[in-house]
Amino acid sequence: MNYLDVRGSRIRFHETGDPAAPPVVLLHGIGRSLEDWALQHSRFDDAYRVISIDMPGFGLSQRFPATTTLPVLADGVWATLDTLGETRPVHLMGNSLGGAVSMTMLASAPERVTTLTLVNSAGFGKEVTWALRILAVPGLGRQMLRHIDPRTAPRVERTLFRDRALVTPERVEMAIRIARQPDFAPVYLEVAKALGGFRGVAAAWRAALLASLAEVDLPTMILWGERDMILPSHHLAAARAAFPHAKSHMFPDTGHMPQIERPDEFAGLVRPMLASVRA
Amino acid sequence: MTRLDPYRFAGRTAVLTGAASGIGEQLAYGLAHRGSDLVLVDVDGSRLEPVATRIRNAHPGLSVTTIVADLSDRAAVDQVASQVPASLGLLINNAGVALGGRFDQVSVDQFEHVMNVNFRAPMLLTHALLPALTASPGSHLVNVSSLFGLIAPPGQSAYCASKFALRGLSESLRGELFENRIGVTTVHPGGIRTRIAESALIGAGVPESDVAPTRKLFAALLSFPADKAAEQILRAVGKRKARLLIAANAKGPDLLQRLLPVGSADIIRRLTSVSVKAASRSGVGAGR
Repeated sequence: MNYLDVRGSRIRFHETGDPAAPPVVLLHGIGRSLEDWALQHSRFDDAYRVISIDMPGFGLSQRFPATTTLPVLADGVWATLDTLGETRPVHLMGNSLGGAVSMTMLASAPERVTTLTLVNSAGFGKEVTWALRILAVPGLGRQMLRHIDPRTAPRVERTLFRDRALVTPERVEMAIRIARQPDFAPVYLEVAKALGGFRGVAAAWRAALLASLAEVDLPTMILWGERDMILPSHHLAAARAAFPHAKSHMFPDTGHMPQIERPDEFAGLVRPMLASVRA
Repeated sequence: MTRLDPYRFAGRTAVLTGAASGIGEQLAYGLAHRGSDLVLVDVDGSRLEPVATRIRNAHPGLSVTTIVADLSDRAAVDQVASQVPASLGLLINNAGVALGGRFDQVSVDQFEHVMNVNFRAPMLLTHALLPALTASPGSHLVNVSSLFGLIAPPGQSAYCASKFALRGLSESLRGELFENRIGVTTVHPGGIRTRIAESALIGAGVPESDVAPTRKLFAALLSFPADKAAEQILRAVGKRKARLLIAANAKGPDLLQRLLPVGSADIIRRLTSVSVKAASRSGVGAGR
């Protein structure tokens, strides 16, 4: 893995493919890391420069000094790409929180985005797993995040996948390693607070974000796993309403991360959209 | 007997008749959003193909098959059944045709045509596809009857006969198919804004001067949006509901008919003429 110094913070990224090829940028969810996109690198890097990033304060990246919010994360990704020398328009893909960050990036710099792929994305409804809502209870959140260990981590991982075989020792180990990073709990709680509270995902930022994207008309793919236990799949209907021109697909028997659970179908759906823009 | 699990749409195939317009078209979009592969059937190929194209563009991950067939023809129904995959998640018998005119104004051929499309086709298709539904655990059957499968106003003898028959078949099947873990929903839409009034057949003996006013009367009653109706149907399928009434002008008459099984007919007739007058008045206003 590679690290970059981005405005004084150490940011981790992974890059494959020809650096001259059109760039694809992959963003993970809350409390996660670029490992969530590992399977997609090889499915795109024959024709694209594929870059996955640990967003500031997540994975093994250091945080930015400012309180972590969607704009701070979006700015952090743009700054990372600038440091990498990648200033061309990118194909953006975001899973969960990464989807909301992608939309924020698009709103802040529409000229820098070629296509948008939202994967079980945050931003389309208030319902979210109780595990994230309970973080808003004072004192409880910090306690919960402090206790991610070999006993509890598999339990968390199991909520992400429909197929339990995907809860591998490597994934559990990575989750524990991430949770031991000094910035993990504060950043996690800052983002959880910025996005919502005990009542679920707040409506205000969702409405403002989607309103700011109402004028944007670029190729968009909306994907969801029907059996998502983190963000329910009926949010796909709201996502379709927000992006009426978008293509979409509901994966059967799939949880919160179709890019891991349905890797080939995922790439098979997204690649034609990317190719159509290149032509 | 335990309840059936919620119906899951993604990754399963749905067969839908009458898919080219109205509630059927909206059902097709709703099923595609939910991840169902589709077999779309309609008699009107020129309207069906654009619907299929729109779905294929928006949902490149789905398989969408179209079959142009006249369901009043028994051989055509068999032909449809033979093109359906061996394992089927959902069958929606939605196609229907209306016929205007008093019983003495419609020909026997016209009456039979309505029975064939509205009742015999769903019966034949369900019979032929039952093995495919049984092959897929937790599958589901939807029969779109009508408000006129619950009440029978004058001037609707053929339509009411066909929709009462479909309701009877559907409700009986619900009990039978439960043993096979197949859910059945009978849908009774009230006035939904669809093409059914403009494409309605007119009784052979109906005087020319009555045709336009009758179409206008129905157009005024058909006010509930088809996309909302389709959403309600798909939600009812998810929950495995036995009966779904759509729109206030279905729920009111249904309640009245249950309170006053015989006397309700008179009341509904009077209420209908009042609401039609109100609707046509507001329609004129909007036209200016």
